[in-house]
Amino acid sequence: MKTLLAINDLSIFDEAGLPLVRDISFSIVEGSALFLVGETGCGKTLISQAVAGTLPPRLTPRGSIPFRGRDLLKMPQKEREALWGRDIFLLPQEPFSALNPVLSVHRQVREIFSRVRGEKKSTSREKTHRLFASLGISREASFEEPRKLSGGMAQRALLATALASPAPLVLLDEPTKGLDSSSKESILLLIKSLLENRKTLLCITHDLSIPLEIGGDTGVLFGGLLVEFGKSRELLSHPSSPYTRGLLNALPERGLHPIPEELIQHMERAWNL
Amino acid sequence: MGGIKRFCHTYLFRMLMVALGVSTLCFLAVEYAPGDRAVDVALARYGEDVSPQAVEYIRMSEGLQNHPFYRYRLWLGSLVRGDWGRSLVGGEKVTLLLTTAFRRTALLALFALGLSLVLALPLGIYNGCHPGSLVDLCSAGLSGILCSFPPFVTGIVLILLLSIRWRMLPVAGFSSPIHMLLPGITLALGLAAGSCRVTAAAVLQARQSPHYAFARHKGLAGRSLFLPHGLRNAAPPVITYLGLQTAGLLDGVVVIETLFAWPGLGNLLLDAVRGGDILLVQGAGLLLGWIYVTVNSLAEYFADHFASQEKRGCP
Amino acid sequence: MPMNSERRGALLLLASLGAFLVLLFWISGDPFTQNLMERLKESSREHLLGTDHLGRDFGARLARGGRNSIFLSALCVFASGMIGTGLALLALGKGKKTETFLLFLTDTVMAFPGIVLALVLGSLTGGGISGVIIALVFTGWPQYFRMARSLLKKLWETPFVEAGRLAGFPLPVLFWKYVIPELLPTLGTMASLGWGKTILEISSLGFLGIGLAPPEPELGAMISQGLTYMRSTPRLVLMPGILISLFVLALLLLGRGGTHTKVSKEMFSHEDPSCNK
Repeated sequence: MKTLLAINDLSIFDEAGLPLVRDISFSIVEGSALFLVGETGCGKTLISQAVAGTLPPRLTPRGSIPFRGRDLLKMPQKEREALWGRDIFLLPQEPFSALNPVLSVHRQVREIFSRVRGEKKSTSREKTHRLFASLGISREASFEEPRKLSGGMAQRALLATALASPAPLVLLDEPTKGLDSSSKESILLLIKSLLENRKTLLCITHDLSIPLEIGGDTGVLFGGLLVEFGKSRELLSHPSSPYTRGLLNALPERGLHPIPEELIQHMERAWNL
Repeated sequence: MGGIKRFCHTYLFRMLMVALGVSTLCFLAVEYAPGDRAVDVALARYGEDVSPQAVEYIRMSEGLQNHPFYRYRLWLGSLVRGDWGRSLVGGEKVTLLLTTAFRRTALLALFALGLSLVLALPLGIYNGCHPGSLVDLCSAGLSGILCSFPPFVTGIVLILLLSIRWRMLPVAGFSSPIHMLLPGITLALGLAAGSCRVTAAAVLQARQSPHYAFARHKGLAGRSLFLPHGLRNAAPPVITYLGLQTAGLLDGVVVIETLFAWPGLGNLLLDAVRGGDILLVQGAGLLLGWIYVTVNSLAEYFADHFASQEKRGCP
Repeated sequence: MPMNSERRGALLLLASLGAFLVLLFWISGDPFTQNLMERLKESSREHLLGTDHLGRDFGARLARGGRNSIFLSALCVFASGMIGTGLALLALGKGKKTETFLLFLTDTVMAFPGIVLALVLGSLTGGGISGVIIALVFTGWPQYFRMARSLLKKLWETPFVEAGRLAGFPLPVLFWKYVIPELLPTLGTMASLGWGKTILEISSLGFLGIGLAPPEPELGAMISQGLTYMRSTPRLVLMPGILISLFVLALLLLGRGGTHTKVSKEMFSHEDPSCNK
């Protein structure tokens, strides 16, 4: 039950000194999934960026993010970029813009084995084949360029890159944005695959059905503050915060009830926003 | 592959059109040009003091008196058979003149292209990787200015500087390889101005693309990042542009050859036009037209091929 | 056409060149009067920019030659643009058969290289300017046709044009009110670039001796004539050359204005950028 990543009193300020994110603290256990949920603009993406090292330079983070014995926020940008692909993996939303259109998907996974892991070309090729096979992508398909694959296969090719990578921490930002329910199924499978392969997941989402399905831990954010944090299933079946209850009621399955305006105002007053 | 078949159809069709167009035009030029063709040729061949008998002799020997439609058929027929006639002025076989001239033009063109690539590619790649740098801005300005110079103006400036002022290179002539330098450099500079900009833009666009970012996030760096994800993606628009440049090179070649007295196809065509040497005009026009069609069609084919690679989600 | 600093600079340059030419026109003498006693004289009270190899006022010849180059190339570009756009509208309005025929025609025409064709036509017309114009317009209209057609196709599918169609507006009204305003920016850019390119072509042809017949001055022809005297009187060659280059530079800047980092895909595409229409 080792902690892989911790966030200690993280605050993020904009150029004017206004806090966009305030005093966030939580930790992620190795091999588990942590979901940050909340409405648009609550700051969850900023937290993810702070971990990834992709925070826009005009924003200033404070606090500490201990990861594998080092504080990420104290590291110079060059070193943080060196972590990409080796310690932290940023999984993009859309396979067709992330994958290089002129190279085969096989090549794009193989180079992770050969260049990032430093393995021999023949071993890399073998491992890539096996990985694609386990994901249900045939050999012929793997040698195609991404545009020749169906949406689902491309998504799985993207998953293959995450699985091939040695990085234990995978960051997912809004993986189900704009997807219909059948595609959402494949995202759930993707997340489960990652967890089965002993990856640790930090997933930003507005979609509460994902933590409900997967489990792990969930943190609820509002206005840059952590409103509630706990085991996903418990928190979402018996939420303590009225805000979380409001979010749950807004789900389509529960009737799409909008969050009451009084609640928002109450919260803003309570937290001095 | 449907693409190749369609390419062949378009290509052959265009070659045919050029052949028909040029030869018909030349034929019409013979028939309906102002003045008496026989007199023109006689003047070109024998100089100012030419006798009426000489003119008549030329009229008969060159068959300049038969009926138009009949002559048109003969005209096209000989073209198809490969008999492209003889120069009305000098008497040599047109095909022979064309092959010698073509070799010289090809030499110059290839040299110019090669030189332009040597100049433009490294600079363009550097600029794409360091946008906004001093080198980038300077070369952008310089390219812009060079592009606006007509090729003969660049040539003249170079002549003034390198030949007259500093006496480094000979202006015109053909006797030694050094004569190729000045016309070659003139052409190369114009070409490099364009290709440098395009390369820089393509490299920049590749580096700013989402898949380049993803490749970095995968952990790739240095050459294993830049070569497969940067250059490889920047290559198609550059190659397309080079193809179009080569096609456009033809126009520049005609002018440059004249300026530097380089005895290639362009010069040949021009002399032929001036001398009213219609068979030579036709031959040179055809050859130049076919070269143009070939290069252009190839360039278009690659442009389409690369464009289809960029289409996403279309299996 | 969106404004930015490059474009403003270009317009300023164009305006200055125009003013310069007008000024020259005004203060110079007659570009045609020869005076062999006054050949190759340097600048003087009477002839502000000196005389050429036939004793004619060089400034006047520059002004008139500049005017000729500008107007002739503008004419070519305008004609090409009109024909190209008109045919594109026709292709859109008249249905599949017309469209196929026009595509076929475009393909044919695009097979011909501009200057070579001009030279060949030169034999036909005795090297006159009419041959040049015909050749340049003939080889020039396809690019406008293609661009207009590609833009029109995209535009035709948009909801607001669709709404106009459903509302029952007749075709000409649709074109005028909806379509033309959308086309103008891109076509305007193309025309500006084309204008520069055409000036280059006309002066190149003039340099080769094809085009306006002497004594009517043309900048390229003036350069060619001045070559013999290049060593002694380089301005005969340099000034027309610089004039051409400045015009072309200004027009290219105007057309390209600030977009030098974007490789314009549309300008290179030869197919509809759609995969299942």
